[in-house]
Amino acid sequence: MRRVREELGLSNVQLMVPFVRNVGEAKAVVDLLAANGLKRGENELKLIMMCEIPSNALLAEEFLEHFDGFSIGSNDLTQLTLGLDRDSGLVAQAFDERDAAVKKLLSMAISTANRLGKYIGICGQGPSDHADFAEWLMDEGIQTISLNPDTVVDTWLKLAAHKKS
Amino acid sequence: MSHSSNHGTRHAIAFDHLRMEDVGDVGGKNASLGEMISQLAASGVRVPGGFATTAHAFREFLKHQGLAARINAALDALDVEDVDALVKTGAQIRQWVVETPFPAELEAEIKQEYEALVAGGHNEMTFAVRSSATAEDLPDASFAGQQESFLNIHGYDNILHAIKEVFASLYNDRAIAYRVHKGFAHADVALSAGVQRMVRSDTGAAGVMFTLDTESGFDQVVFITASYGLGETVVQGAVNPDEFYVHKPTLALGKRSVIRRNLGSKMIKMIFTESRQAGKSTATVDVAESERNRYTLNDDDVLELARYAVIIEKHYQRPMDIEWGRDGADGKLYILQARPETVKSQAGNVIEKFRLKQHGKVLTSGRAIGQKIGVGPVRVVKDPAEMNRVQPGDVLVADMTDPNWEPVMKRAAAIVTNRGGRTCHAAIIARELGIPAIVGCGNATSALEEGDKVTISCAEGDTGYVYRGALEFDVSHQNIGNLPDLPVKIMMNVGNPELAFEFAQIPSGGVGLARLEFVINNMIGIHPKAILDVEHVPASLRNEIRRRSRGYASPEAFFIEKLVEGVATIAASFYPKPVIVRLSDFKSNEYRKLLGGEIYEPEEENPMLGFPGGFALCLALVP
Repeated sequence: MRRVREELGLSNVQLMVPFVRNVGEAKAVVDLLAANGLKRGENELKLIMMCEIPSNALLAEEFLEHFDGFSIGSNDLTQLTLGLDRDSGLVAQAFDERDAAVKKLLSMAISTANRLGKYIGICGQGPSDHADFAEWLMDEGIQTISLNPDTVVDTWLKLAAHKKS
Repeated sequence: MSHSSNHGTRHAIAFDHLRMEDVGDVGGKNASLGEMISQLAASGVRVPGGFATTAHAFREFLKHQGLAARINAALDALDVEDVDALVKTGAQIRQWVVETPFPAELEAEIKQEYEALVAGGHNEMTFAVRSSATAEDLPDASFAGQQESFLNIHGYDNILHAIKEVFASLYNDRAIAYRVHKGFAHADVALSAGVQRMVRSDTGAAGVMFTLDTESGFDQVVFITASYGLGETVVQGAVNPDEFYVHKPTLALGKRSVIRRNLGSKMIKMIFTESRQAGKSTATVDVAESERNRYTLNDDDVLELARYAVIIEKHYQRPMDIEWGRDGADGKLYILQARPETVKSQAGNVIEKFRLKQHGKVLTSGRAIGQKIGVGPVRVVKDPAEMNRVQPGDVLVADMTDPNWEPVMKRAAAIVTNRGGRTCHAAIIARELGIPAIVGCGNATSALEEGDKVTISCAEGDTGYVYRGALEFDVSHQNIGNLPDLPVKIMMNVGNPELAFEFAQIPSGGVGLARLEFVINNMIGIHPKAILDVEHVPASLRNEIRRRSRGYASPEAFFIEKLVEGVATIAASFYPKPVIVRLSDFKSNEYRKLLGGEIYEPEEENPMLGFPGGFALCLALVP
């Protein structure tokens, strides 16, 4: 990563750390990266944290002390909020990113990040699969929605139509 | 097609006195060489010197001893569809051309320019003598390889003979037929012969470069191909060359921005024989295995070539297609030819996207040319003499192609070859015709059965696949010209570096998620622990790891370089927009699928709650 950013000059690369369970881990991981030459803020380096465990949303303010923003992983967040394994046939049908509990956590994460002036985006499969979910996220004030390339233009047009209505 | 003359009655002119606007006097190729030598030498672009005979000289030559009258009478009487008559008439005309002596004034000027050229040089200096037609190499049509080159020509008399051969090549059978089919009058095309100091890439290397990615049209990179020996093998597609991509914006910042490398097989190379006369001077030999397993160019070479390419593109203000050579004697890199890139630069705002709706058994694979999908019955053509068996809608399968194949290539639904890279003849023509092609498959002519229905898919990234059967696919057209503003930024999830250039042309705010494990999967495909442990893994696995990492100092170096290249390719595609790379979260079920994965990964029932965690980062921190 350091070579890509420094030798090749591609300083647009930002790093995202997945699955940070508690604030102690957040601090430790940021320190570990810094010790390996990837210091937050240096050469425009932004560190983003995946928001994919309910603890991440519940303690958003504390986690964001150590990071420049959140990227929501709606898949894991839904599984861990609803206590189900999407790959298990028995409970997979209960999986829905649009569940009220998940949405509540998402609202918390989005509003906290926006209040603190931090980055907040979503990179999970959810908005690619469900246009209404993407619309809801836009209305909540999410800054970016990251989609699978084949759904970009369609979702873009649907969101534009939603904005008008 | 006729051009005005800037040089009146001059018969031969040194390259450093020529400019692009002299195309009417010396043809596109020679004018372009003159333009580079006279305008870009100060920028450091190295182009070997030489001179060109003029269109005026060619016409004077034709007038000499009634040659033109004999030729015109013969051509007027010819029906080009009558193959036997075409062969006979062509041979007769070429013999007349070679036998007619040069007018005295022309020969005197050639002699003068030749002596200026060899002055100060050594006695072993050799030359390339190439044709440049005044109706060729125009921005709207690339007549790939229509005329002849004579290489490594030594001494004044041999040069005079080679110039005659160049003049005669205007009356090659295929050139005559081509002009008739394209509606050019024979007498409107004049030939200029370019005589240029020979870059000894026979003992060095050569290749082609483009100032954009030839498949996606992505214009922020320079794409370079390279192989050993003379560049003809790359241009024709007789070899699968090494490939390199350099990112232009970070190159301009002085960075070492080689973002991607692919090691080609480079089985053969073209070298010079002892004979240094026109038509007899080259031979093809095998490349030693140690050389095949090494990159032809190091990063310094790649960066120097890319800098030349950028300077040339900037000068011409359009995408360019450039031939280069490395001289085995002095070790330096030279630009041999530059012309406008003609296919990808004409694309508009509508994205045409082919997508397979089902998959099948992969029969063979190679480099994908274009991004389309084609379906048809296999027609294996082992000898050019039987190429007329190709029917409209067939999938043409051949060892390689050359300009003689063009009439049947037009009929094909797709083209598949054993040999060749992205800049080979088959690739260039397929792109021009807008049909899918897969080149460099290695075994296409034996793996594909005559008459079987197959699907040619170039819609899955760098690698093109030939599937058994006629698979279903769809085509969508999306206009990306003006998407409305949104209160949210739309970004993209991109995991496969091979598709990044293409995706970068869809409007977006950057990449919101690039998964490191996808990069590992697509670029490397080997479990990182198996790489670190290469001495202790089973022999078959060890051999496969070594095979995949050839060209690199060690399997570990291969892993690190490919990881850097994968991330860099995605980052460069969207630069300067943000690209958020997610460090690997070590889900054991995903890593098990890698080569050697079953040795190192436990079969976890619930991978999500087990191993992963923020601390599992050592992999991503490789320096």
